[in-house]
Amino acid sequence: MDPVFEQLYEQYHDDLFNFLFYMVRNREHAEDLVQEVYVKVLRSYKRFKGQCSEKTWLLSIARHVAIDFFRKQKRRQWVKASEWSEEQLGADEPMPEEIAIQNEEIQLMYRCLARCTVDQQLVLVLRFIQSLSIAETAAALGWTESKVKTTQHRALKALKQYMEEEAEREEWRHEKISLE
Amino acid sequence: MKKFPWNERCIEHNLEQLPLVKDRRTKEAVYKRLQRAQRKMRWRRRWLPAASMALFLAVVAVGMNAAVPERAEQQQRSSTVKMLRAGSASPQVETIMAADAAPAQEDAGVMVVGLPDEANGRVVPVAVPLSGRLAPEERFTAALRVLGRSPLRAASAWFNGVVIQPAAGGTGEWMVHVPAHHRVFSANRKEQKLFVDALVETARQMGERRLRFFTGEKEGLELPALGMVKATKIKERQRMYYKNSASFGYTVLVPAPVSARTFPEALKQMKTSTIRGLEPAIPPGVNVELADMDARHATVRIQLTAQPHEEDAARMAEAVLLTAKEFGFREVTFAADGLSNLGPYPVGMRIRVPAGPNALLMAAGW
Repeated sequence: MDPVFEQLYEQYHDDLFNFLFYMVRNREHAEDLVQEVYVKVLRSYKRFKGQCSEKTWLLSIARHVAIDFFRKQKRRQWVKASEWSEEQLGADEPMPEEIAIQNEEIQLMYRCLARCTVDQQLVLVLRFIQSLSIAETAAALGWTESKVKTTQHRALKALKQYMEEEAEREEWRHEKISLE
Repeated sequence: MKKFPWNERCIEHNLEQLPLVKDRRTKEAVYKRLQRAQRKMRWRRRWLPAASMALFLAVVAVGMNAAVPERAEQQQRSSTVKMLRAGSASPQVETIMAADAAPAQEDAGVMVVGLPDEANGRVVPVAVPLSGRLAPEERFTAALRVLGRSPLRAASAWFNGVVIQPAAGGTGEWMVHVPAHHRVFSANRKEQKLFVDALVETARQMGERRLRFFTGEKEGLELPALGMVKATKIKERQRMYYKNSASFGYTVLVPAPVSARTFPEALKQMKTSTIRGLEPAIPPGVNVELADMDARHATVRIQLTAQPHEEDAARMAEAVLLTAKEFGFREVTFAADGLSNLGPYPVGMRIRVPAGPNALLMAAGW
């Protein structure tokens, strides 16, 4: 086994997979993408100069891979724009076991996270799920720190709004059913 | 649920509570796949330019030849090629191709209907026995009539008035007509989703790949909680069967919404369950592994360190057969030392995979 792969796997595989999973919300896609990240990382490992931490560097590659994936998906969706694909149908269905066993609030947040823009999701996942600092997030995304702060602020606001909307809708439906 | 509005600190805190989702593969499996991907990339880098150049040269050469047409000779040549192709297909290849082309549900006496189990929020496929030879468009309605006389009538009532029939012109699409006054239009989000999922599961079990939805004759279902549903493509994927102990008051088998890449991998995964509410159909103390396989037949070896209950053994055998079916196998032979049968399934004999799960539910004897 390639010693570089072994070292990267031991140290960062969980973080990488977790990051990609929260971005694409599908285990199989995350598995494919993590593979792609390793191929790219191993190809350019010798060129890594250590300007940022290894984890930040890996996450920046993972971010590019995820964005490429979204572009391809978007192109595919455009082709079948009139269709309501099964993936859309089950947008919140393949909730992983790890989330499904959490309380309702966490599940609601997981669902609403998908409604945020890709940039907002990137910031929220890196900042709060991967626990990166503002500076590390900026380095992983290739942004300025102020852009990270602004996006984070907007993302939290948007997420709050989506959660309230969703909760209100469910509450309303609940009331309607009990009235009937 | 906690009353909203949430403040930003609360949102941040909840984000931090989102759990770590781990890769289920081993390091070795990840590395193996990585090596494959690297080989593929190297091959592409090395051969793709050469192949494109060869293709380009071939196109140029064909273009130059086309300037001197020899129609009669060409026709003769192409018919010879056709004859050669027709004659060269081996019987085995033909069998496999025919099997691939066959619909998933080929047993004319059975229709598998995906029933919404509201209590568990799952769709439970049930094999419903039909009598007589029926046209494809009659099968769903006939199955609903049978279900209407069974203990599952409450679940099947969700399909009252729903008609599924093939689109005109043999396009391979199926049309789902839902009456305008159907209860799904006033149902909550979970029920609406379950209803559509149940229709998709029914279509999947029928071997269909595309569905179009209609409200009466008008295209699309305007479901308040889900939005407009016009059509769906059913993704090709293999699934594994697990046990759900409390569906409609019985223990049932349901396909898991996760995929395994190969049948042996599926058998391994079926020993454990990470999905809430689903239990492994393979009881503890039983080891199940693929011993041998050819085109459409698999031999599954079963080793026991503890004797399972007869019902558990039958359910395990059925889960293995149904999972084998998902991976394209038509027949399975169970091999087990010191055992003559697993419930109704004999050991050491070829068993045809069933058309669908939970046939016994119709008798409600489980």
